[in-house]
Amino acid sequence: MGLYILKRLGLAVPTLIGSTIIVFLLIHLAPGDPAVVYLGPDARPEDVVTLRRHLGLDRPLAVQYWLYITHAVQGDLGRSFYYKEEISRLVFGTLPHTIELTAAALVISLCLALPLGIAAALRPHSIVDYLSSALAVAGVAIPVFWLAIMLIFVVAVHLQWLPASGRGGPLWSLEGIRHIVLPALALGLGLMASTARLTRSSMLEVLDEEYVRTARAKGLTARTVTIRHALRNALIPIVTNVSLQVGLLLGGAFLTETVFSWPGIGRLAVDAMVRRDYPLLQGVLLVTIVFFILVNLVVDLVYPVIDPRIRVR
Amino acid sequence: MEPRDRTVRPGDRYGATTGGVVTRRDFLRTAAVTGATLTASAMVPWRWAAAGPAPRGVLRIATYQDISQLDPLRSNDTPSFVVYDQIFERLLLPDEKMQPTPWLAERFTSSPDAKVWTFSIRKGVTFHDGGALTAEDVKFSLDRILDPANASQKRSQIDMIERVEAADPYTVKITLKYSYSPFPAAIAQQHVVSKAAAQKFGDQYTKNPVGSGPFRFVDWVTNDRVTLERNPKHWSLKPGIDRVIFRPIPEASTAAAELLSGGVDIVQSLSAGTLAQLRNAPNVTIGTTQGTSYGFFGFRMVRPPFTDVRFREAVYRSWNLDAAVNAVFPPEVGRRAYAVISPPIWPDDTAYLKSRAYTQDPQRARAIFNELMGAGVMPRDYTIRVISLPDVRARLSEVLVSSLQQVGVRATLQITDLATMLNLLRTEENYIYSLVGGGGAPDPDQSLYWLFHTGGPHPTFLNLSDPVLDNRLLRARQAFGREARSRLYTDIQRHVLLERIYHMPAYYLNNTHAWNPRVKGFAPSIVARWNLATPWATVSVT
Repeated sequence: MGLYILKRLGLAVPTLIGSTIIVFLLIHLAPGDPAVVYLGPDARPEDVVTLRRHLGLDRPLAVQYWLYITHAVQGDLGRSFYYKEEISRLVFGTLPHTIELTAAALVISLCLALPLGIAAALRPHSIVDYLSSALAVAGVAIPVFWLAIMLIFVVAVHLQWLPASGRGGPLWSLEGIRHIVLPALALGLGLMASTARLTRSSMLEVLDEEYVRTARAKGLTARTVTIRHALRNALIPIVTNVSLQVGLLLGGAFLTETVFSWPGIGRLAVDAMVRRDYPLLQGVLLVTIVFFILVNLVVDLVYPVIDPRIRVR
Repeated sequence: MEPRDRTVRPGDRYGATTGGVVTRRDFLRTAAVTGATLTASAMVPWRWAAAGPAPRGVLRIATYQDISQLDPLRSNDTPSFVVYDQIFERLLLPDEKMQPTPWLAERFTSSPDAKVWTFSIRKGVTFHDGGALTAEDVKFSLDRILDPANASQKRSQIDMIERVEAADPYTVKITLKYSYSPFPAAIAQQHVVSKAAAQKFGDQYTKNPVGSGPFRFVDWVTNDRVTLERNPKHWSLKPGIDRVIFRPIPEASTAAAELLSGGVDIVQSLSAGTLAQLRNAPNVTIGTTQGTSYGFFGFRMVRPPFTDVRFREAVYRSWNLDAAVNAVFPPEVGRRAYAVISPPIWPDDTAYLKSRAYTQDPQRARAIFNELMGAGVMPRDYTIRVISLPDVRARLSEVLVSSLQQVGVRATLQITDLATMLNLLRTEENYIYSLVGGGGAPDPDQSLYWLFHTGGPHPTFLNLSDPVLDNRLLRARQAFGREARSRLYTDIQRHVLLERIYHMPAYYLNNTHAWNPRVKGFAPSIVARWNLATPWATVSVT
């Protein structure tokens, strides 16, 4: 197990280095000068030159990358051009808000998707199955942005059940829960749809296996057969899908956070992009990449727990 | 396909919930209960408590983005202005008609040549930390803007200053490099910071702003809120609110939803879409003031045919700018501009400029383009490139491009963000572009000089250097008396819009805000920035 973890960690390093180079190049290749954006259209050209020098933008790109990466290794992500604040403070101040939003979306979507997928698999071509199919199509087809606005207008404005936007407080407080429901629903619907469909197909496949038939033949109850024998074996592709979808959830959070004015890392990234705040954008993306790699690592570690055959291999 | 379970366990009765049997209803129930509990439990029991009005004395304002800085030294965005205008004060305060009136400076005088200006600072004014506001603070505030090492966006507003001296603790003497009669308008845009606090906090002053205004800073949570509270020790003003919360809500329709559901009290600068959402809503007041922010289509004149005034006239004659502006802007949001300067800023030359404005004449436009092509000024396959930001300007630009195509000229539209656009406007290419600039300043010099004098940022975008214009702009800023200066500015506007056509003047942005009727004493000002407490208006909440 120790070797397995070490191997997984070892693979994460080149992924991280490769992605920082790609991120750095992409950001710097985008047209637009941060000094010009920061000073605005009314700035004098000589002030733009001074600011570029201050920000270190007059140095060759390779030097900028080297400085960035050597500082980042020491935990110094630099300072935001726009906010004039340490990036680590900005990023780690907002990252927990994004994590709680994605976690809530994940919980809501799994709580809806698993029972729905299982029910559809147990009764294929029944009303439940058609309903779950319809929901899945809707979940994939409806853009997060549109769904978010609809939720706001129906639930917050017309029904006045929940607040329209913002983060009311920590997740364990009443206001915190009331504020997170709508963004988490908007964000989680896509994942819910794909997981429900995958659960259905995966369960259908497993229910046809001989060991399930054997379990039934032994006289086990339907509940035990379904949960212990079928679902557990059907979980592997579902867990893989969920881990891959975490990346999509983070991407979706960029949109959801903007619509719901949720103070997370996604909004920080969108603003940083528009303002060409290079260090902040790099910092946000670096932390997001690390987070994504970590999630995948955790999933890799969960596999052997779900399916001991992986451990043996 | 038959359900597998039936073939294996024909005795199982799906749809029943007998002990130990997982039924369809069980699953449905689980799905409904586990998923929906999370949402419904958060909704139903507190329905009556959802987003109601804030406690008495708290005002919540939606802004379209987070503030960037709270140090007046660095910031060029409206959300930051609106917040720190409540925290910091100025020597002179623009009144409702944008005229600078004495504020922290009780009075001011100038030398006959308008080169030396003396300001008497009001005694008894204290900063939020208890320190007294003196001439040293004023000198410090201006010197740090003027220091090129700070690369302040505001340096261009006051770079005519040669030196600032604190003649005594309550007298500031400012010597200019040249005569500059509109200096009060320039100084009325600068805020006085606490020297002691700014030196103590250094570059973290932006997170710990200490001013003398009617509100003091409480906290700022990035992308979430900025909170201010009433300064009970203000030397003059008695604010009508205990607390102000500014909430950045980037999505306009979400801000409108927040206003409708009682989550915020004021939504600023409504767009056409938001206005449609709110216009007939109950419990929403909408107020409009004719703004002076000037939107234009500029010609980046790098080489022919853009450098030829006939070409610019042909472009102007290709489209119906009146109809385009009226179609794109509801009257509350914008109106057609014929001049750079709009009342109440002087001079008002709108009537003349409107009567002479170039109107749509496709035949004439086609004739000019053909003439230019025949003379070799404009290649026959020439493509006119238009660049625009992805907002309402893009719609106007689409009209321009399609109108140009209708008169037989190739034209393309590139929609881009501000960073890319400003980058393109520094390349060696001809472009037609749309920006908003000037217009909002109290003196015409502050708009026209920066829009058209050689070396400024906007003339750089136009690639403009016009000695006749430069000379008039310089004379106008050094002349005395409104009448003499009005004449010069009238000539300047006719020169740039009618004779040389550097701009196609397009629209003025109006200032339209929406608010909950519980907010009293609030009205949009001529410019996008406003104060919650002034000698002539105090905002309060019931």
